[in-house]
Amino acid sequence: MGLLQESLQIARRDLLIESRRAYEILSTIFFTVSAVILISISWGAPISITIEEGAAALWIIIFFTSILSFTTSFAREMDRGTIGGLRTIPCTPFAILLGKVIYTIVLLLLVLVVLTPMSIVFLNIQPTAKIFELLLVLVVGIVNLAFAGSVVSSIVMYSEGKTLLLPFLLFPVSMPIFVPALLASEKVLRGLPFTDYSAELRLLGAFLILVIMISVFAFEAILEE
Amino acid sequence: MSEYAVECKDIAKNYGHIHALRSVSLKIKPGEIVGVLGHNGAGKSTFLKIVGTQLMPSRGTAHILGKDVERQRKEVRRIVGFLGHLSFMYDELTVEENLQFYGQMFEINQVDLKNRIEEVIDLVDLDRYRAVEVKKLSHGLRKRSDLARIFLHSPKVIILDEPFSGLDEAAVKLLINSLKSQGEGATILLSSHEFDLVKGTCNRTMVFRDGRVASDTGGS
Repeated sequence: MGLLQESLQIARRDLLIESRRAYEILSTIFFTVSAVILISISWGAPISITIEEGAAALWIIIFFTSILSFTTSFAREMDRGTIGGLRTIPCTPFAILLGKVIYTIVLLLLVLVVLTPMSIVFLNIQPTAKIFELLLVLVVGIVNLAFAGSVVSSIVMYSEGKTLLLPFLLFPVSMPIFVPALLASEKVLRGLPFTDYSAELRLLGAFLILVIMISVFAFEAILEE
Repeated sequence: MSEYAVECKDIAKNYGHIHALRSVSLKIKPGEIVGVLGHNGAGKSTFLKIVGTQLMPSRGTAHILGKDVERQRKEVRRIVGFLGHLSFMYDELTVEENLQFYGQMFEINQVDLKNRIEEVIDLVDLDRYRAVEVKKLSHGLRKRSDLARIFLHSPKVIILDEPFSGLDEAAVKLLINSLKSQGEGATILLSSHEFDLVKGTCNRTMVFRDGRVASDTGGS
């Protein structure tokens, strides 16, 4: 079985488990909805919210919802002892990480499905803005965040204080994702052409390659001990 | 192929200043059923976890049918079935879904996997519970579902860490019978506190004390 097939099997299993724990997905969705409404009320949206504030709100919500998924990613396997089951499977350790990344991407895309229309209504994000370009930036950012967050989640899974350590470590690690993604989103919302935010997308691409390279070499050591 | 199913040379495991395993060297031939005995903290579980690729040794080498547990982990996992203290079955999935997942990860093709799942479910007498979520099973039934998991890929080396703990007499009998039928020809290593049970099941016993093999009797 190839790397991608192995990863898809792991992601499929995680999503099946998640579907049986629907209340966890619903709590993430509820968090998204309530965060959008609270931001909208407190910043006087939809009329007076600026493009910068709209873009910032999107990424703040994505960052915090991602933490909710990362806390269940490797931590649950560790807490329940099923991490040992993953250590009995004859597959490449990277396939396990990739499986968790795919699972997180699917969950965050689900958040995006709720977040995008809500942002149009409550955060003054104009539907006339380049919506597909905005989605491209959001998806690239989410893939980056899913990779970096899954690696952090695997590092902290052995710690008793993982719920504290995860956001503590994820924050600095996600800065190289957060800043270019935020700038690119803002430029898209301003209606600027692709050439104006391609540098930010290249930066996100470079960071993704870096995280993948680090995880290819480091994840085996993280998983096996 | 190596002459030995399990071959360990001077393996040790340290957790900081704690020496869980000091220096273990042993050879186990294919087909042997080895009972690993010892008090709590004697090093039984650590030894079995190293042989079962759950832990890496701090020192020394361990080979399963000639394959290095550190360098050829993937190959070793194909031929080893490991049952630990904790269940490796996913709570929210049914017994059948769990077996489906593990079977696919062991690259058993879909048609064979379906038949194999039938066989192992019958073997551990879990037919009535196949569609039940694992979280709803009792401790004994859960252990049986884990046993079905390790039989799934017909491992050549079966490692069972405290398989009898928390099981009633009937469940222990079922476990031993399934081991005898499925584990035929396989090398079996099982740890337990129950000396008589191990004596009756195994043809070789090793007693661990203070991270070392204190006695080894009945080996061929």
